[in-house]
Amino acid sequence: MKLSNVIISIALVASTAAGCKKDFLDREITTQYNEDEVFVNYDRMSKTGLGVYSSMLNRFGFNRISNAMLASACDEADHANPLSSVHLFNVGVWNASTNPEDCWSGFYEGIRRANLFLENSADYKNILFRDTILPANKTQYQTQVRDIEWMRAEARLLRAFYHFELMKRYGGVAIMDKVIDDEEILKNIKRQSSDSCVSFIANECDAVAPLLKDTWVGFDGDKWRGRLTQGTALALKSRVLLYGASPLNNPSNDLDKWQKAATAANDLIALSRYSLFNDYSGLFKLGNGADGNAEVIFAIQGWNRNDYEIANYPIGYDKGGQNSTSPTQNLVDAYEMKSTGRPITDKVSKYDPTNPYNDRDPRLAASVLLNNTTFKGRKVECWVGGLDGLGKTRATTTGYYIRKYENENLNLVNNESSVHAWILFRYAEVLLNYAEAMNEANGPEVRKGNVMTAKAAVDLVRQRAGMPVLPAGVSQDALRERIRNERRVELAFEEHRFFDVRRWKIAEQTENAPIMAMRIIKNGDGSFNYTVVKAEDRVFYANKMYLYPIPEAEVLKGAITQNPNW
Amino acid sequence: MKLHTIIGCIILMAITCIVACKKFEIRFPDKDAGQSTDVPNIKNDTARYLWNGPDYYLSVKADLSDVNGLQSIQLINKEWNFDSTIMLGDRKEFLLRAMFNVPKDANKTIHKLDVIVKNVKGGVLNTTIAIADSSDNNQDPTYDPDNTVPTIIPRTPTSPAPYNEAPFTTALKAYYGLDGNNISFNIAVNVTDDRALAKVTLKVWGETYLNEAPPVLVEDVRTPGDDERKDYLLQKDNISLPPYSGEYAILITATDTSGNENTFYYPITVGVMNRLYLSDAKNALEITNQAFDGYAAASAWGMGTIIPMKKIATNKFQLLYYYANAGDDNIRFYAYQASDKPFNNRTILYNLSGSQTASSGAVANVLGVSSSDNKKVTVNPAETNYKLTGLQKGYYTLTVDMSTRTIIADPYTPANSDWSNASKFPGFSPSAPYDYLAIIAGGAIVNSRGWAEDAASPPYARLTREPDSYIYSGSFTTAANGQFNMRAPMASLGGADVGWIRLPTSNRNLYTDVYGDLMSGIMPVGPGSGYVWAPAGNYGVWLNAGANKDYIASYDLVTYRLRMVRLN
Repeated sequence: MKLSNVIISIALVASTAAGCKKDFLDREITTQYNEDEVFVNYDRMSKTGLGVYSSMLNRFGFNRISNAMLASACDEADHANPLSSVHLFNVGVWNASTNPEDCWSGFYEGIRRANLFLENSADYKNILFRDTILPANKTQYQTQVRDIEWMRAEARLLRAFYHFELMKRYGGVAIMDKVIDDEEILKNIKRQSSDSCVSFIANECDAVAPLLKDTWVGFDGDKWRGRLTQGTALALKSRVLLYGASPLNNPSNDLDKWQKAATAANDLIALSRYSLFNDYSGLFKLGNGADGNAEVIFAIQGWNRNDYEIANYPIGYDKGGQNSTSPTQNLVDAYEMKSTGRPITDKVSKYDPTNPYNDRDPRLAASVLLNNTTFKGRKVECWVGGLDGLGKTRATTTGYYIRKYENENLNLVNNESSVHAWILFRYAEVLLNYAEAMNEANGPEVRKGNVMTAKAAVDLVRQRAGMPVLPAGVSQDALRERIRNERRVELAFEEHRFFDVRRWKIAEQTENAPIMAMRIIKNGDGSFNYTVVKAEDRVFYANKMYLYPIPEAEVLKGAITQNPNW
Repeated sequence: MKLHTIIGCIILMAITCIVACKKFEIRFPDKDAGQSTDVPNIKNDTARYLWNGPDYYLSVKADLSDVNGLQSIQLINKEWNFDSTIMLGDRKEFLLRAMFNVPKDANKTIHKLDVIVKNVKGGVLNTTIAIADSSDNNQDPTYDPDNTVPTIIPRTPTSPAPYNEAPFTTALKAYYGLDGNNISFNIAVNVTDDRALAKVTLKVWGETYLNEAPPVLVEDVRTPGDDERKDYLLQKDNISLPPYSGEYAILITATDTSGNENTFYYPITVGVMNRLYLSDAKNALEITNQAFDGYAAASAWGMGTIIPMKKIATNKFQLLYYYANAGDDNIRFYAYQASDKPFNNRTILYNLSGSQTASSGAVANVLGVSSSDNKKVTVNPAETNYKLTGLQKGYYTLTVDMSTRTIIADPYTPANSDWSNASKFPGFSPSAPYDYLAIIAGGAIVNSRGWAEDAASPPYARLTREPDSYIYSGSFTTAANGQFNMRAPMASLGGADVGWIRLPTSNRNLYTDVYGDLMSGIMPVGPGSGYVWAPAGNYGVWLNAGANKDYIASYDLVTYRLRMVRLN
């Protein structure tokens, strides 16, 4: 059985159990076995270890917020279905009780799963020895010990990762590194500072990295692919230190934090284990083979599905367009000109607003389905009155459809489907983490004994996409803007932008700006007129929305304090 | 709020809606009950988006009035991030005639201006004004923008010195920097502009990879004199770079008085190697007489005494190598930067002392392991005896870092997944390897006889296994031009057409080495696949030195390295 199937099975078992009695920080995980019946042999113990992964399900990726992507909660996209709760983010009416993406209990549940596994499997050698006592089983014993040691390291890393996912949404959170059942103790547990959370997570990454496998590809018939690796630990450390150094968590701009973030990314890059894939578009269509790609550091394994295509094929295609994620003009404008490498607003960029998609960064066409692009045998008609154009219910609201991740070869009428994996960590992100941290700590073109300069790291990402390198001599401020834009286009729709604008503390500009759309008119001669119009206003309250509200029910229980102004 | 007030408001709203050009307007009070809810009047309101000179503007006109007194007008356009409030000082009438600087639209865009007018009694008028786009033509008929950037031209070499160097280009300039001396160079460029130059700046910066020397930073800002505004010569002499591995850049920026800017960028590396080779030629003859496949493409190589090391990171190279630990070992590392390499169409471009390179001419690019510290490599012949100091006979993964000038030798347990392939290695096992490999040459090699091993009348040509190894070595003499193949011992074949060791593909379609050069090394191929000249078949390497040439050769069943040298 493949890992994804194992995890789904475990999740299903858990979901059939009785509800939780404990507080959010220590949710009771009930299975078909009592806890004292689980940690008695390899089979049950290992399945419990793998069960820690189950808290990842539906926390990342496709159509997960009321059928919308997280991209539709920021300036990357607008969700065409007006009934989706993702719109609560955009009109500013969400609160502690109506957060469309409340992850608090889910991730703490995962943390408790990890703690239960770690504490109950602490005596794993004796448990396994009891179970394999015959001398003939020595090899089996050694193999099982090795497996449990890997799983224990993975559980610790997952625990750290879940803490990070909480921290990036809620700010400093309570660090739960052991099982606590005492109600009184639980009520008095307090939130830690974001710095403390960053330190805890980074230290855990350091501690477990040497204990993790370097890859699961090619091991044991490939059935364990999709599990965490050494590279994941280094990548998580890079990401959490970057978040810790960012303006949201580093208001005094302590350069030492940036330096540590740069060093963490440098450590991963210096391994020379990862590299950029030469096919940007294809990178997101690798299915469960993604972790065999040299760029992919960790991907959540998926299963056969076509809901993503049903949602996002243009509405004029059979069975398509049911919940369109509509990329915004704001995002489209962020893609630079291919020939000059300059933003379209630059007067020498050679941008032609009458032919707006010509000579653009190739990642635009890879990520966004543009008008008049040939798609599944015909031209996409995003023009007013076209087969896929504005005005139809659930058609694009912006003049664009999403293309990233889509399998363009499915026949939805025949209900064809394909495996979609969600890449959580990839090398390009680490390069951009490095570039950002190095630029802040040391400037654009300084190595300081590291593998490359900040600019060189951005240039690698750009060159893979077929874009020119950035100009030499770029200033620190200018490079900061270019790096931010590079993340925006390179990592579009990958659930980075939503959090990036918050950690940079620019959401009050980006998330208050109106969403713009392209209104396309087809002329009699077959040409098009392109005019930008406002699609909708959006609301972001800077006094509170940089952090999520803690769920009201949890605040009322004890010492957990609410975030400001919620 | 009283009923008659509400009715009054409704009537007023209706009237105002009719008067105010059919715009969508919402009026509502924001004061306590009992206060006046009359709202301000607006008429003749227009808004235009204008291009004037180099800038873009929002022009707004409106006639405002209110019997109670006007308090303020707020103008908002979110896509421009524009929000401006004008306090109106209680006056009863105000003619708004205002221009605001706004960004240039990247695309043709339909804009609206949100307008909020308040009176002193708290009455609020909310309305929108469509913004007419008049930005296609500049409002200033005399506007003559300077859109031409300055030009920067590397100066043609001139005599006398110091400007006698090759002109800069945008291509990378690479210096070996192996001799320990600082690198020094001069810069001279011409900068011109059709109108007038404002300034020319030169910046040279960079650092060594390992911080052995302080970072280099040269900054020079020049302001051309009145007679140099259209044509300026920038000269900077004796710029010095430290002789350690590092990266540098020259950036010349020219800016004209209109703010147009052009740059000239010139990257430089010092001691950054693109290739590293290991040579175990025992003497000069073993370099000049190393073997090539005569029928291979012109640049093919790979059967001699030099081996490419795989580049695994910047300045870091790796090779799996069998070290014999013999008295005549002569292990040298040849480093190459840019597109330099040791061969050019089978012309050997190196000797024991160094190489003739395309980028720098003759260069002492030879390193050996330090005699006193076997973790260091050095270019100083006095510090090395060109052996892998301290290592015993065996296989090692050698990793050389050209930045730190260090070498790591990790012992390697010999293994090969092909050994279990009965087609490639019939009758072979790691614990019972072949005693020899037969040389099959169709008579082109003395004692090679036909196209199969002739066991009936020894001695026949063969390479014999060296003790406790997977290395097979020996010597042979040519009888004529012809091909060289090897094969598993006849006794292991069982009569099958297997066990051939030869070019894995046609000798006109060889495979590439770690640097992309064509390689004529031979490998186990299993069956002979016929003697096909076309690209589909495999074949022996072709020795065309004629008859009576003596060769020594060795073949490694772990790395598949064929090492062959002609002795006369």
